[in-house]
Amino acid sequence: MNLNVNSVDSLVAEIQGLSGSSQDVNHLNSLLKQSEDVIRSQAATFASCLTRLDPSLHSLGYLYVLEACTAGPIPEAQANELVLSVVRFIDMCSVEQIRLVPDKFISVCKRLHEQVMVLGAPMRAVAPLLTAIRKIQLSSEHLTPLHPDFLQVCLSAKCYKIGYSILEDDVLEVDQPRDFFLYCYYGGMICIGQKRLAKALELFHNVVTAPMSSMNAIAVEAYKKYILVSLIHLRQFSASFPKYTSSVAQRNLKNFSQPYIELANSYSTGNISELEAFVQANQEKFENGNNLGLVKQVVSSMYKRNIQRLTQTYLTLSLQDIANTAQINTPKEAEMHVLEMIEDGEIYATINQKDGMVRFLEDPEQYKTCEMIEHIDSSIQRIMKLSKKLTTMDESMSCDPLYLSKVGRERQRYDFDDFDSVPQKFNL
Amino acid sequence: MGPINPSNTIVSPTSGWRRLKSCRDQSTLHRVLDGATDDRKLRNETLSCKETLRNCAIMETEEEASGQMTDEIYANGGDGEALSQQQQQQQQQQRRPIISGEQLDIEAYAALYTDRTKISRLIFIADKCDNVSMQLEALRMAYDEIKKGENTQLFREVVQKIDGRLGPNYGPDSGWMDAVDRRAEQRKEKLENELNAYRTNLIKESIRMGYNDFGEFYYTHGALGDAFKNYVRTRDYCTTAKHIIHMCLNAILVSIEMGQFAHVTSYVSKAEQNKNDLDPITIAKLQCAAGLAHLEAKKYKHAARKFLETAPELGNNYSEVIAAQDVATYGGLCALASFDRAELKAKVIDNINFRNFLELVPEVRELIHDFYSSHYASCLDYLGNLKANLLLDIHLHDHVEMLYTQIRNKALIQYTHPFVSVDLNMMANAFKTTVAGLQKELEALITDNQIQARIDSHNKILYARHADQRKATFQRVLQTGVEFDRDVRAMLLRANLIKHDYNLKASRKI
Amino acid sequence: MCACEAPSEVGALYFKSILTPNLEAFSCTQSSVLRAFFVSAGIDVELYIMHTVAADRMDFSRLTDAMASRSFDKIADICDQLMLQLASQGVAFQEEWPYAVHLLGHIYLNDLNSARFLWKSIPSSIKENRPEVVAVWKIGQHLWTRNYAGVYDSIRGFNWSAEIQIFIASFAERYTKRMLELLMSAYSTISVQDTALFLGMNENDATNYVLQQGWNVDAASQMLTVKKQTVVTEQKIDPSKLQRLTEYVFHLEH
Repeated sequence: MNLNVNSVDSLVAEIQGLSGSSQDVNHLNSLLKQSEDVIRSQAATFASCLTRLDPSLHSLGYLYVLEACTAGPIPEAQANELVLSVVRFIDMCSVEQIRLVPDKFISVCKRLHEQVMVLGAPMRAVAPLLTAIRKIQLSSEHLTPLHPDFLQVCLSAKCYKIGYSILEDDVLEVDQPRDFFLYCYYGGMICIGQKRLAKALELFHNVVTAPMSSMNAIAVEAYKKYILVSLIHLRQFSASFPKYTSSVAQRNLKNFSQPYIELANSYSTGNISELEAFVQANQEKFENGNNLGLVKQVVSSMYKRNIQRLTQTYLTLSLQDIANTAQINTPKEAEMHVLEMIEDGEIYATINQKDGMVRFLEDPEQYKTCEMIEHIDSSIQRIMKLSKKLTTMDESMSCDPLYLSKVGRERQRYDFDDFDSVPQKFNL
Repeated sequence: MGPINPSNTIVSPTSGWRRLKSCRDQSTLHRVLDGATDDRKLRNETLSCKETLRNCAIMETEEEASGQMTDEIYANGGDGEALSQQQQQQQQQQRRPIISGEQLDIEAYAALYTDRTKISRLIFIADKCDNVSMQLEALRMAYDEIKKGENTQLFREVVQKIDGRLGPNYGPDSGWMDAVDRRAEQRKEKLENELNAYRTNLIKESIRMGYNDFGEFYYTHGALGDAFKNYVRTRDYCTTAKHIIHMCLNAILVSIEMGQFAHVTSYVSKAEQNKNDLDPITIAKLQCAAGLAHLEAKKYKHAARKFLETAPELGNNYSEVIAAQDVATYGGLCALASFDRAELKAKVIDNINFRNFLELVPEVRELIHDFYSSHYASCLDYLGNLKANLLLDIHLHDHVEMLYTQIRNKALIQYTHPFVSVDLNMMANAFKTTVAGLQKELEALITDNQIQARIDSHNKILYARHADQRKATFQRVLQTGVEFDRDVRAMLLRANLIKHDYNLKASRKI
Repeated sequence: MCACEAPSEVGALYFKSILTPNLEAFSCTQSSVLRAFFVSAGIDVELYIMHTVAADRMDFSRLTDAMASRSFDKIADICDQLMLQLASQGVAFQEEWPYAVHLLGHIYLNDLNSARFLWKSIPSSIKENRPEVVAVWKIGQHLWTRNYAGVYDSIRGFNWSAEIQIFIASFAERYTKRMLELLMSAYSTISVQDTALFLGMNENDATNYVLQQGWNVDAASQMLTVKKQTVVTEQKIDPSKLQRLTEYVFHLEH
């Protein structure tokens, strides 16, 4: 049976008639797929369908028509209306129905992203895109193609906090490497804004070490930021790559980020004036890379680095000595630096203003509070879960005929261990 | 003739102690040593003997006082106890060896060496020392020494360095040079003819001898590269292990003179492959050569081990390369710089063989014992006194600073080790430095995790930092957990990406 | 609240009656009345209505409730959500948005990152025309640069409107407390003068304030000796937790 697409009325009737049971909806889906071209070619005509369909009840049919309507170029005058209707659809649509055609749903959402940018109002897409992600993703571990879009509008709209909320999910399933690269890159930038530097480092690290067969710009930019964040957060940078890093990245990344590598080298000397001079001399390069802000943070983290090193060595030290060693102008400034670090929990110390001394203390944590036990317990649980996942993956992989045949063929070429993580064929 | 006959001199501090008890006065002691003929040697041995006595005293005290080590070390920073004061006086009266704090006795020094190394060392001294009279003295002796040989090239060099400052007797003696060169020309021709003859006759042994003669010829005339080539060429004609060893020793000798220590190492190991044919003297020579090579490569621990293993049979048999005194100095300093306390005790202090060498350079022996018994002030004193002369040593020159730094660091670490807290003022005294300077040194060592302690800069006290095992374990566990978590997630992600990539390729194929 | 003064039309009341009071409910509503209404009215009408709804119905009831009940720690979240909702509905909310309260909400939680990004997203016309917003941001700036005394100056240096006065006062109180805690953890001795700066009081008041906390003052040197707080933490543990930890150990050992 073919779908009756002779008129708007008949299409509406069909859709309304087949939006009940899941069986019906599946059937409707296959029918709509056959008529896709017709709907698309006469999108303008069918647009009026939308007024007669209920986005929450007839989500599938609605989505087909909506996607067809938004596929072509959109006149600026209509952008606002389009955004409103897409937002409404995202809010109301039925999860079960849209998941039958994720591609269409995603392309509609991408249109939304595009149009809010045209309108210069990225904030309009923040909440809808988050809803869209939640609706389309099969689990919170699943990276959707909408993740990068969402993070990007968050960045544009300066809504970092809500952007960060999605980064707290553990993403483990990836469909498209490109999505993943962008997700990590934008995610890293959000984390920097939220001062979640450890997470930012992890995300950039994922990009840098991801398997890749050719260089891409995202990896280069991520590597630059990785260097800077590493200096700010860890106060050091190790230029060596983990061995699982792709050879392309190992060969090329450093060449593309020369001033950043040199910055890290200069940083490791602990000499602030030298570092400042270097930054001054290369200001333009950092500015062009949009990293000057981070570079400035790198410079100011140097004081903290120098003070932190003193805590390893001294029990007490005068503010004057701290100022001298950490290359701070006055003891009072040194006191403020120390105070700031105490406030941020970076060091444990007490300042004795009377004698102008600082006493550095050990971490007072005794590891016997309830919270700590709670924390340890939850860490163990988490790790057990992860381990299980790993084992499952390993098992399914070692049973996979495709993988085995590949290993069999290539055993001579590769060290067996390297192929530990080659997984099974992905069944869609 | 070995400088010291081990059976004659005192072998171990304890036996020395016993002996002292039996012969109460100094004169009896002198009689024990009467066998010595050489003036200088007698002086040295007497000194050694006295030093040994003192040594015994230290050892005894150490044993008695081991329980009070802490106090003793503490006291060392202050006025010092009666014993060490006594010792110091004693030392000041008695010390007159070759390598000492006093200005280098060039003549005595040069007497230890023969052959080309003697000249090289003299020239090296002339190059490195600032004292003009010493410089000229060294050059004069080098000039005289060269005149005994046939190396006109070196002769020209020295004459240039003298630059007429030693009067007409030390000028460019062109008559001598011409004569030597003429003779050399003739000799070379003769050797060539001989060698050609041997080669046409294909007599292996003669060819070997021929090349060997050539090697020697080039060596005496200063053409080290050619000498090396010819010595090595004998290799194809070696028929016995002895020949090979001979060839190796020659190659080593030339390589050392050229400063090619990589060759030294390889020819030492080549020679050592013929274990059964090595006599004790040759073994000792090879060990010294290997030690020099390690020293040059800044592998001080290996160098120390080689020198420490050198048997006393070496004596002055290797004076064309090294003197027994050098073995003591090089070995002792390298050991101090690189050994931990246990190894120092086992391989240096309790090493009977090496003690024979140490007797030749009492300062080095003293400073090692001072170091081991934690008398750092005295140890550093010795080191300070020795430094100027050590800097004039052709092999040690480049390493003095580094060895000294390492020894000082070792001393600082060892000093702080047994304490819960250390008064920085006292420690600064003990190490002859200011509190501020000491603080900087300690800071570097703590940062480097070589000392586990914290400085109380307010009260100028160093406190040992005793790791809280429980806390550290918790910290490590949590840290490991976080890392594991992160790494596993990253791994799963990478696996997924590879999977994607692979699927993509597979789908393209289809 | 300033925002509540938004002009109300007769129509707004009508929609208020159909829609549940807050906008969150509106967005995910399944109410058949509304649906039927939209469906029958067609998309254009619908869009039109949504405009009217949005413009008139910046529903600040949750915010006013939170302010009224002094749940200041909830302000930031409520504002964030509301703002995103309004934005997604295409409402031009900026002109009437209570930026001062929103900013202060973040500052109150010491979430300076969010405050900073909010400040960056404020249109420049608003920054120019609403001095109170700027004044709140001044506080945030001082916090950002750790100008501890400057925070008090900027609190005192502005004549706050009635709507925000209590909120500001509450923040000031909270901030003083935080500073006292900081001083207790970071100092063993501190001058009276600095204490006064950190606590935003004059020297007498500051001295009296900390003496109540058990500190000592040395009149000659004008130095205060800090009394450390003893932190009492819950050490009792849930038996089931202990049980589970025991099981881990057992598992590892066998």
